[in-house]
Amino acid sequence: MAVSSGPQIALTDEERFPLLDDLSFLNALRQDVFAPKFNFKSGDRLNEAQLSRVHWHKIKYYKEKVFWSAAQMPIWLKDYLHWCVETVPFYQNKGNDLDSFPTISREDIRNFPHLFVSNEANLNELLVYHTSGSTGPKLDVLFDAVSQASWLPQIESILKDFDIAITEGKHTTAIALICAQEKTLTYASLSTYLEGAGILKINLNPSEWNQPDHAVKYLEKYNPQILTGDPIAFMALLDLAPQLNPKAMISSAMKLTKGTKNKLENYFKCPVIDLYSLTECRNIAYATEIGHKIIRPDLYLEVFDEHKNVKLPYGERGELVVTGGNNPFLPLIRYRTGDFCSLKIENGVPFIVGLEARNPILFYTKSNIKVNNIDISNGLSELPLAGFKMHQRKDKTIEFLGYSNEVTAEEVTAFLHTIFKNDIDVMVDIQNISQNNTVEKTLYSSELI
Amino acid sequence: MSKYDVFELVTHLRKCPEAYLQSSDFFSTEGVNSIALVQDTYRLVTNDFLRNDFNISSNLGTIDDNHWRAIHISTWLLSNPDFINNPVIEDKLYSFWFIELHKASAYVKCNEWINDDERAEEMVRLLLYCCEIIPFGENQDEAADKLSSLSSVERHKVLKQSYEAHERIMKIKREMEEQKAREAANTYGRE
Repeated sequence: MAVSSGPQIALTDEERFPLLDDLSFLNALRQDVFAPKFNFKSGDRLNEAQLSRVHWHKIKYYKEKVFWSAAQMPIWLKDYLHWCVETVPFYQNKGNDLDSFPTISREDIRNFPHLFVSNEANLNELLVYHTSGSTGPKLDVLFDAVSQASWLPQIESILKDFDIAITEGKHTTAIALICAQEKTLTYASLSTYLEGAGILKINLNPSEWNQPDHAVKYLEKYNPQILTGDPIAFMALLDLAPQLNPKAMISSAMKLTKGTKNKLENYFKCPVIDLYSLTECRNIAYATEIGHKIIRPDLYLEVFDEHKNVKLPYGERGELVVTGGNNPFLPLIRYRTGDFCSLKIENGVPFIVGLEARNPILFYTKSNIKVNNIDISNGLSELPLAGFKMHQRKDKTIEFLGYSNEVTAEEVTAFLHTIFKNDIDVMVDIQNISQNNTVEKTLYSSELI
Repeated sequence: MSKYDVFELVTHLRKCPEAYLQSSDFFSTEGVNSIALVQDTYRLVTNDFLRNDFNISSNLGTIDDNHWRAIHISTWLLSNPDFINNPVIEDKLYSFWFIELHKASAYVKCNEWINDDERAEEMVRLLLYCCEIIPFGENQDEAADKLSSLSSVERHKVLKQSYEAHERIMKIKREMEEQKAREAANTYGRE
């Protein structure tokens, strides 16, 4: 998200943390001599009722996880479908039986986000996250503070599998989201759910720090318990060789290769967890040796034929489809994730097998400076492209194919020259969108990998 | 002529004389004596011209001019031979006059019952429905569907719901634009 055109700082700290009285640790994180040039502010926004709902969510779903089986759908499903039909305009006039619901796609959410808002959702609690998406055109995701903060109990339930617990309290930094991008929002924050523990979102880009060595010094000083980020950011962190003792690292958004995982685990001496999550419903599963283990009993997963509205039996490979969640602004019923796998159930726990997630792709300028595909997605999200494919040839020439009735090849060429620091050859082709398109999903590829 | 043919009853209704559109005047100096008109209609329907104990609303003060005139017009409709000497509908008329027409009159101006084809058909069908009479050539479901599609009360309800849904969507869109431009809540990991 470009800082210049992104959201603006609009709240007071009292509004960011309605339940926290002592903000001294937040001020320490913000004002530290080694602190980055934070460009944003953020809070968890939880009031008393909302915090109770996060705790209730934890107790109901994560204390003892009860999933579905091949023969038995989850017990909450019937009530959930009924509630959706009664209160969510997009699902009105559907039956109360799951099989009466066709699959929906990212396009449905992109085109009609307002129709997915339950009539029971309090609009005063609406929050919006504008995502470029690493695999598609921009999307406005609607959510509330409760579904956002539920990330924490969901992650705690994973960490429990590794006998790891996050220490709560106002003198510890619980989580640092590490980025290595040209631009991103950065801030220091706190977690009410974790009793005031620190939360950081930082960018390793040297231009974000007062001195080149401050990133390492700052991280070493606050030594976050959990590091989160994508494999590219983690490799960038590894290059800096910081002396950190994280309890765990959680990698998401891109596929984590075995080589990268091993390198990180050898250096940081902690588990590196490959998390599968989507902006539309947050965390879903994490990688184990026998597949991605599902962590959310409040989600029901199915596999569908890629092109037809046909559910496939367990063991058969197809597109992963999600139902459920705890977001009243985006309740999902048979949402196509765009990711492919098969499902199996082992000892009552469902696993995603052979998940084809997004691959991390690095592009290079002619003089070998790395360019992250997230920065490309972020920048391109400003242009009204319905989709695009980008490929880098061995001679480093970028081939770009976009789908749009508005964007010109000149605009895209200018953007690519900027992001590649005027050190690249590009071939841009823009195809018009007709009434009957076979527009492919956004795809990055390179002959240099 | 077929009995309870909607088209024929609508044709009859639309010939309602101007006199029935006058305001209610219990002293019969300048308008219609509504009570007398209702009682006469009861007598026609029951074919009992000596009775005086007909069921008439005890809250006459709550009936407004537009509602009274709708009742006047409906008595013309009830003067059609289909309803004369038809005592089984006597105890259905109270509900028609003082409940159903009361609700519909909130959305229909009295002259529309005569001048507007759809409203005329609505009054005919409302009367038949209240009297538990199925229109000629129709079955119960068809009759119910047709009345529902004409009903001013239903239409208002649907419009209100649709208006509320529209308002809600507009409000969500406004909130979305506002919230998109503002800080949201902590992000803990990449997605």
